[in-house]
Amino acid sequence: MKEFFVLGLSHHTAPLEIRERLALPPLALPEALAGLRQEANLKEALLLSTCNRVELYAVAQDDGGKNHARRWMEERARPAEIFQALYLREGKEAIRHAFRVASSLDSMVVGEPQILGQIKEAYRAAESNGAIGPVLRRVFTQAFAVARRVRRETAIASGSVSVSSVACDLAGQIFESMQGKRVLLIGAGKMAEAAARKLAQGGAKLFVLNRSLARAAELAARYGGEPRGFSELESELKLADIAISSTASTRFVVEYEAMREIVRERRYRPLFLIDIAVPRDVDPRVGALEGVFLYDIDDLRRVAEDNLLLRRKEAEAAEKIIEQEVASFERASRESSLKPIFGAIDAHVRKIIRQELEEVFGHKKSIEAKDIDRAIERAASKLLHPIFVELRRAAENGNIGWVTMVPRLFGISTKEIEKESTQKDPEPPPPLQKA
Amino acid sequence: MPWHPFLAWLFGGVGVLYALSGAGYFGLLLRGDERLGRAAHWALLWALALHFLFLISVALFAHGTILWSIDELLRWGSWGVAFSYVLTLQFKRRGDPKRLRALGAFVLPLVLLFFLVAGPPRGVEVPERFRSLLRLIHIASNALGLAAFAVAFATSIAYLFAERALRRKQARTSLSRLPPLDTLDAMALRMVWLGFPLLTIGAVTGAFWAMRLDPNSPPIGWNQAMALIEWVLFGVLLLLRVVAGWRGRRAAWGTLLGFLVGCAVLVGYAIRSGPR
Repeated sequence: MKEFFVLGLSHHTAPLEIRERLALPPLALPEALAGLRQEANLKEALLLSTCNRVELYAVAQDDGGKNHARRWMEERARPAEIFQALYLREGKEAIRHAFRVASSLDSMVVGEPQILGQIKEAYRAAESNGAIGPVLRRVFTQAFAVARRVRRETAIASGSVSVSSVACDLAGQIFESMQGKRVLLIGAGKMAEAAARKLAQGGAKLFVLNRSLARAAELAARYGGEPRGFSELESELKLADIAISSTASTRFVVEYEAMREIVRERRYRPLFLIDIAVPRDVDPRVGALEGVFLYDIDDLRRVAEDNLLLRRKEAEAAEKIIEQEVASFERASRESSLKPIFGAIDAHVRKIIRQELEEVFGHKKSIEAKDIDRAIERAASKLLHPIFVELRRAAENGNIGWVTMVPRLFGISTKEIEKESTQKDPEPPPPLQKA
Repeated sequence: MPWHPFLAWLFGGVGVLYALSGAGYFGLLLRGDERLGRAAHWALLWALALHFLFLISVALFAHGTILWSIDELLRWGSWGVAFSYVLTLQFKRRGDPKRLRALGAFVLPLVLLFFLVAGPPRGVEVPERFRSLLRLIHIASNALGLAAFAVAFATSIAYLFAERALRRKQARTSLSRLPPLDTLDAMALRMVWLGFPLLTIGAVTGAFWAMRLDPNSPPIGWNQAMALIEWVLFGVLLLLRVVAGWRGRRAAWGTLLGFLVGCAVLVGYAIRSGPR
């Protein structure tokens, strides 16, 4: 796995100005990947480009590959700026990095779900480019599994961390589904619009209420909603399930007395009232009315911060999972690297035995005991000769480790060796007989 | 008469399985660990099967007579509560099943309580006068009604806790793992709708049976008065839900009150001397 490396920069090492200079639009990825592979002579490569990171995961043919890749990145931005920001991780470190990125532990907002999708897209792009080989396939297949495990076993992705998402989550604690729910947007701020958009995506019907009917109509049209005049505030509040207020008004837009009457007329149907305005649009006493759940911007931020705190706490548990997975991946890699050696030894031994058996029995019609002895002797000599030669050489060079290890390979204990040395002098191996 | 060892074993097994299931559901609610929820669900399914075997065995030892005492009512009622909960989980098409499972943390303690209060069968001789169809209908409808009201009660408690947490802006408590408030409210309403006709049948058949058993007995005693209050409370609750649009917190309190009065009726019968 030593040949596997990650080269890139992220929000940890580079400001947005540098990241955006290096970022690649999805359509440009295949061409960039092909160029990079050719230029840096990479066996396998995957380019990940998101708003928070640009990274190359690759397997180099030779040592020059990493330098070429670095140069390729530097050329895309100003070398002096990018030099400090670029990081290179190799082998085990690179594997850990891939697992952490896929599990969203390296993300700006820890636990955000988009990164996994972005890596999968990058993987597909690289695969269709023919740039995925056995190493990257194994690393990323495992990275996706690790990401799933982290999500399953920790609460790293639980709870939203943006104000608009928190508002939607809270709505989900009151209403089972947004389908057919009436969402009233009072005024229009960016955060309120984002929350309304998310709720509308869930199937809610949007009603936009603004002092400027034209602005209300424009916003409503964008989300398939309906515009309303400000004079309809009370009648709309009677019908709404969720109301998001973010006007620039300096006095309360939703007053306690009026709301008390509205609640009665609503027959205590639950109303989720989100006040994102500063100064506040909704009289805080409204929150005490039955069926009304009032959250202002500070409440929402507090929930978001709590969620973020929880995610950070969960990140510690996730890091432990990553360590376990890196260790088991390395173990599996080592085992898989031994496979061809095992296969070759197995084939070699079988070939020699088969050859010797054919040599002894091939032309005979009946088998005699002495023939079996002869076949065993021939096969043993042929198999053991190169081992004895290497052992002698090792002993001459003072390589005692080798000398003691070989008997272990055959399951021969020290006692057996001692017994052998007391019985007779070791005999040289029989000369290799020509077939 | 001592319990039959087989019944004692079954009783213990069912009790342990319900306790394990309840603990698992609590674990799901507190830690959000779905594996605990799944384990709890399996424990509940096994408990239900074993509980049913227990009920049938008790009936066999009583020579085929079922539902002849208040203990029997609780035994069948506790099975009914668990069964209705499983049915709700099974047939709820919308909503997050994980959140519905978390509700088990409120339902299972009730199941276990009723089951343990009923206890193992104290004896299997059933007096002849208890072998009556009217009494069977009376206790069966009351057992089913109890099951429906118990689920409504558990759901209403869950509603009140979840609503309080939301109002106090404690959005990240374990209670956020419960189903949404409107689901809890709708579930409680459905269960009260289901329980009320059964309670009505139970009350009417009970009155007829009591009159037939002893025509000279006073028309209404403590238990009958409490049962009537329970019936009126649930009736008014349904009326207010339909006519005045009661829902949410006040409907949950109404359900709680109705169910507690229903429990008082059970306690009244339980402490009465003689066959229960």
